[in-house]
This record gives sequence, C-alpha cells and structure tokens, in this order.
Amino acid sequence: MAVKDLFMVRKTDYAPVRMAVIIGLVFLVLFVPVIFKKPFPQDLVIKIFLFALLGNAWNILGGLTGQVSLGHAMFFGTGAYTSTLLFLKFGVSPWFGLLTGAMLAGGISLVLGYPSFKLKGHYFAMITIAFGEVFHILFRNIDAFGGASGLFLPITDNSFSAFYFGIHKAPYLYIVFFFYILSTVTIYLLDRSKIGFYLRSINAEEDAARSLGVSSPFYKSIAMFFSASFTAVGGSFYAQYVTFIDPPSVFHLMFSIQIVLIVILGGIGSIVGPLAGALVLIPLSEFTRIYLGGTGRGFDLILYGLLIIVFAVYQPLGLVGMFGRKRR
Amino acid sequence: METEILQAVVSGLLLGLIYSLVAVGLTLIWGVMDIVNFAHGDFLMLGMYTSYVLYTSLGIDPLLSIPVAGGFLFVVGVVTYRMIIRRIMHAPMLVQIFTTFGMMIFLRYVIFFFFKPDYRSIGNTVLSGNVKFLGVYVGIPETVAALGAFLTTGVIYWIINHTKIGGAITATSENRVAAQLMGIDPDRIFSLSWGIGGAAAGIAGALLSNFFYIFPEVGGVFGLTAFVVVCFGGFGNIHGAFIAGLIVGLIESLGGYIAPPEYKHLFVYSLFIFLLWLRPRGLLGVT
Amino acid sequence: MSLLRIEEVTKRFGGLVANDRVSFDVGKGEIVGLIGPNGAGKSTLFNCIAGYFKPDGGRIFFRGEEITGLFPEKIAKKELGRTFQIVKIFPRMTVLENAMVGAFVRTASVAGASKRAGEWIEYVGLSAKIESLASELTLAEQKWLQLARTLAIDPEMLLMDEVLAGLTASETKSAVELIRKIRDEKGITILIVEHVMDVIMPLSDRVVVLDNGKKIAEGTPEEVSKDPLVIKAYLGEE
Repeated sequence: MAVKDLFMVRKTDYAPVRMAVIIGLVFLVLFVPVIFKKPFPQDLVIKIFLFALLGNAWNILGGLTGQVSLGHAMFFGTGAYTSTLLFLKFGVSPWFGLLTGAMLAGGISLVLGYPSFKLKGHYFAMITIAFGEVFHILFRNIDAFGGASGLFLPITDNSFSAFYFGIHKAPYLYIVFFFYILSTVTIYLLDRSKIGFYLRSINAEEDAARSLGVSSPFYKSIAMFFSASFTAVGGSFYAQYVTFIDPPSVFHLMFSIQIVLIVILGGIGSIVGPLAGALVLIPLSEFTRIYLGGTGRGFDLILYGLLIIVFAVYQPLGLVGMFGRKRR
Repeated sequence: METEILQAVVSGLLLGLIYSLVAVGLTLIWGVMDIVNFAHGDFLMLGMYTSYVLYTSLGIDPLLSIPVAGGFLFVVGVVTYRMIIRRIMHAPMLVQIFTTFGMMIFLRYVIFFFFKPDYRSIGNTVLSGNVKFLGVYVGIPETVAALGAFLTTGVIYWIINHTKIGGAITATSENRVAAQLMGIDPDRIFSLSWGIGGAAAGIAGALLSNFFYIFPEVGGVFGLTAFVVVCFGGFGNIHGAFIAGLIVGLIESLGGYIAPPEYKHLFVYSLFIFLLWLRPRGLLGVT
Repeated sequence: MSLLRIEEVTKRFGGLVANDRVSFDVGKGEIVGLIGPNGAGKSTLFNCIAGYFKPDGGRIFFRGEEITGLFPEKIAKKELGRTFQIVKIFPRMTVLENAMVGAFVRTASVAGASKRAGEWIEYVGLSAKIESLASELTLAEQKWLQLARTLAIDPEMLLMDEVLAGLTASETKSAVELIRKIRDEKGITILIVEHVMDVIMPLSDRVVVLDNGKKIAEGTPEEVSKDPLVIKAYLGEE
C-alpha cells in the first residue's frame, strides 16, 4: 500500500477491530462504576473517554479533511474558560456555558481558520502552533480571566443541573461517554454524507476536488467548526470535572500534542482510532506517572515522543492499521 | 526615555543576531531537503545544557564549551538524519511533521526527566558585568554571545558560498537530480546539512547559556521564533535568515518595551500569523 | 456566438512570460485542439481558464459571462469542467465514490449522486470496476474515471489536458472514440491539449497553435499543418 494514501482508510476494512472496540466500550461504560468502586479506575475511564472525544473532534479536521492542527488546546481551553467564567461571573448554568463555549470556539475557528486554509501541510501546522501560543500567553496574563493562578469552581450541591456531582464519578462518566458517542455519531453521519465525500476529496486531491465544484474553503470551515466545538465541549466538561483550570493545564502545546498522538497511535483515518489510542495511551500515561513517582517527571512524555517517532516512521496507520484487516 | 528605546533597540539587535544563527541552521536543512525540523529549538536547548553540565561538573567556562556544544550537536544532527530522517524522506508530509515533532518531545522530556523543570543559570564566569556603550548598558555576555553568533553565521555563510562542499550543498538544494548526475552524493550532503544545522543551534545555545535561563522548555520559544525568522527571510535563504533574525529580534524587544514584557512574544507570533496569511495565494501544482 | 472566449490572456512567472496575449474563441459544439511544442504555455492557459492561475492580463468569457480570476469551484459550477494531465483521482475512494464527488454538484442526496455517477461510469465503460478502489485501476482506466467524474458535473464544455499520454494504441483509439461520443451524443464542447498529432488532427474541427507563449496559428487542421510557422516551431524543437 502506498504510503501516500495515509488518510481515508475505509472504515469497513476494519470490521473485526471495530466490533471488538464497540463491545469493549459498552462493557467499560456500563460496568466500570459497578465493578470498580474505587475512584481511580473510574477516573481512568473518564479520562479515556474525554481524550477519545477530543481525538474524534481533532480527527474531523485532521483525519477526514487532512488539515493537521497542533493547536487544538486553544479550543479546549476556550470551552473550559467560557463555561467557568460565565458561571463565576454571571451565574450562568454550566450546561448553557458548555453550549456557549462550543459555539464560541466554533466561531473563533472560522475566523482564524478561513484565512489559514490556503496554507498547506507544514505551514498550517505551524500557524496552529502560533495560535495556540497566542491563546496561552493571553490567558496567562489577562487577570480578568484569572491570569496565571487560574480559576476555581466552587463546591455546590450535587445536581445534574449544576453539572456537579462531588465525589460521585459515575455521572461524570456517563456524561462524557454521551458526548463521546455524540461525536462518533456525528463523524459517522458526516463521513457518509455529501460533506464527508467532499472533505475526503479535498483531503486526497484538493485541486481535483475544486475542479468538480467543491469549495474547499467552505467545506474546510465546516470541518473546522465541528472540530473546534466538540473540543470545546470536552474543555467545559473537564472544567466541571476537575473544578480547577489554569492556562498550563488547558492551553499548553503538550496538550495539543497529546490529542494528536492519541489519534495517530490509534489510527488516523479510522472512526475508532481515537478510542483505541486513548485506551492505550491514557493508562500508559497514568501508570508511568504513578510508578515513576511525583507529578510530571515527564517520563510519559518521553514515551510519547518515542511512540510518535516509531509510529510515524513504521506504522502510520496506527493500531487500527496494525490489527485491522483489509477486506479487499 | 530616548535611552530606553535605544536600550531596547540594542538588546533587540543582540538577541536578533542569535536568532539569525538559529534560523540559519533551520533554513539550511529546509532549503536542502525540504524538511521542517520541529526539533530545532531543542537542539539549541541541548547546547545550553551541554554548557551547563560542563560548567557544573568540570568547571569549564561556557566560552570554552562552545566548540564542544557545536561538535556534540553536529553529531546529534547527523545521527538524527541517518537514523530517522532518512527513513521518512519520501513519506507524506504528515509523517514528516510528526517525526520531528516526536523528536522534539523526546529530547525535551529526556532532559526534563534528568534535570527537572528547574530554571538554572550559569553564574560567575569569565564574562560578566556590563559595559556602557553610547549611553546604553549592555551586558558583556550578551554582547559576546551576539558577536559569537555573528561570527558563526559568517562562517556558515562562507562555507556555503566559498567552499567546494558548500557549492555541493547549494547544488543539491537547487536540483538534486542534476547534482547527483554531477557526482554529488545527496546522502552525504543531507548528513552534512543536518550536522551544520544542529551545530548552529547548539552553538547558539552555548552562547546563550552565559546569560539566559536554562530550562527544558526553552527550545519551544526559540524554535517557534526560528520558524518566524525563516518564514520572513525566505525558506532556504541564508541572507534572508540573517536579516530577518535581526528584524524579529527588534520586534520582540520593541514589543516588550511598548507593551508589558510578558507580551513580547505575542508580537512575534502575530507577525508570523500575518506573514503566513498574506503570502500570495499559490494555487495548484500542475508543474 | 462563441462559448468560450479568450481575450489577450497573459500570464507571467517572474521573468518568464508563459502566455503572451493569447486570444481565440471556441464555438458551441466544436472540438478545438490546442497544440504547440513543449513549454508553449498550453497547460498554463488551461490553468488560467479553469481558475487555478489568475491571469496578469486579458479576460476570459464563458457563455458571455466573464470568468477571469474566479475560483476553480465557481467555474466548475458554471459548467466548465477540466481534467488534469497527471491524473488526480482520489486513490482511496472507489470508482463510484470518485464519480459521486462530481455528481454531488447537482444534489445533496447520496442516493441521487450515486445513481448519476453510476450512469456516467457506465457511459465511459468502467462499470465492471465500479466498486474497485481508484488506486487499483490501470492508467487508462484512471483516465476514464477522471473523465466520468468530470462529466458528472454536467459540463457544457470540457478542457482536456493531454488525456492520451501514456496510452497504448488501442487505448488511444478507445479514447478518441469516447471523446467523439461525448461531443456527438452529449453536445459537450471540447478544448483539448494534445501532443499526438495523428490523433488530434483528425479529431479537431479547428486547431490553435501556441509557441513560446504566443498564438502563432489558428485554423482547420489542414490549414495549420501546412502553416510554415507551425512547421518551424515543431521542427525547430527537434
């Protein structure tokens, strides 16, 4: 198989993997809070689905459309800060804040994306790094947004409408799982629609696509909007879950890279790739953090770096590529 | 007030000379083989830590570490090419991005693991103190670093334009096939380019170690700034990288003067964004 | 009335003038050949017409409406289609899906696009391979696919850029028949760039000759092949 054909892996080619993952998924979600009463496993699963959601979101732009963004943390942080600030300053329900954050992130992505779409490959990646850094610097220094010290979400009564459940992790799990499913269904529907055809054509041969009437700026914008808004949803969820956000935790370049790595590792052209990647990377990261002692000695990141290199060079199709089998 | 602006200008130019050196290394690799080295800033970081280690363990003055750092990063560059880059020369652009990105993360966090995120500095050395020049105070380490960068850039320039091997490099970057037909081995040229590029970054790091804070993530800002400079000066263009480095240094410095200093990088990044946006819309690649 | 009018189109790349005030018309229902030695500027002209390059001078009209400098997708939507010299099929999509990308220009329905795409695939004779991945086709089949895909946008006129390069003799014969069929049966006007003289002369109603960016001759194949300037341009290239 030509290395050139990195994207647009046909989803039907990986039926065995997909079934396995779906089954594993259902098991995880339904039974984890029952089997594992301790918070750690529940937390692990929540993180897995959060990153799978973020991976899905990124994949709409990266895998389907072929535009590699290394700055997606800016949307994550936008979501997190929007819902948090709206709640802290105006008492707005976090659910409404989540929606607002998603729309805001989507809007920002259109404004920044539209002039950037003409950039190919490396240059698009670079400009997204620059965007990400700009956001990071701004939020670190603007006191009205909490500045470098970050924002705390107050402890309130446990309730769904307050989007707060205290020590009970199960509701968080179900919520993030819901958003993950929502994102998966969205990608599935997009992919099979005219929009999906157009995005894949832009990905494969943009000039040819344009010669067939496909407006690449318009369709890239659509992909961008969905990608950014789902990422922001993840950010708002994260804020409500950990109840503390600060610029390094939500705007850092390494966060953007983690998202991308999960998708590459799992399989960039595949709908279950992000979940597969999260299933491997998140536990890996959590365990290395625990067993190598202390917060962030960075060992997991060393592994990340190695994994990226190894997978980029030897297995660009990721885990799904390794274990899935082409039907043709 | 006037001296303050002058101060900013002078600091900016001094820093700019260092940016030029870093960018020259990056643009060389870019021009010769069309590969973007996202890990370039971290080569610089390794240069800084080389100096630091030599200083703290052997008491060697940073000035003397410069050739060591240069040599070490030359080797790192060549090894990187031979072990990794060579395998992805014809891979899709995405793969190339991720590979050098992976290197960036790997290098950065290996150092992070061993040295922790602490900000370190090299204290009293041969070069210390300030000098008053045209009513402006300039640090001696900064000035020496800038001069060192200028000299190194000059050496690289001389190598590229006035030696046989430099001619081979230029030929390979302009037309690989023709160069091959003339008996030039592209593989050796690529190794050499990565070596020189790495050495340039390493030397810049060693020069900086005299007065700049040393920490694992220092490569991030320098790397990104190097991209800005290369973008500004033209990919593969060494002259351009030199001049653009000075300009970017000035912009950063003056930006930090006009606005709160925390925002100074914002000016550079914004410049970068607008540069990329305003490039002429080159549609199509039929040829 | 002419369907496509090229007026004084000029395109420069740095110091090189690739198209130098080129003017000609293509009438509805014609097959016009665009020939010239290598580097004459034929592909550049195509790219200017189709919206991939913005001309530095001159104007281009299609159906009386100015299209100079419009985006490629807009021009495609105006029913002016083009194929690419180096076939740009979507490798990891099937033959059907490739053609569907073109068919979607008229509809948002997947079923509808699928049906229309299928019709055009049958028209070019690729039905047997309809479920194959485009990357698995032979070169000739990929060219038919490119054609079917472009036809699916329902163009009134087609710009064909060196469709015959790399084809065997029998494949070339099929290609020529197909091109004739497209014009005769569907009434699609064709401007075709070609190098293979034996093919393009019998096929074209009229021929335009470019050399070094300028138009040096225009007329029936008969007239043009006897034109001393044309002969010189080609012989001079030997």
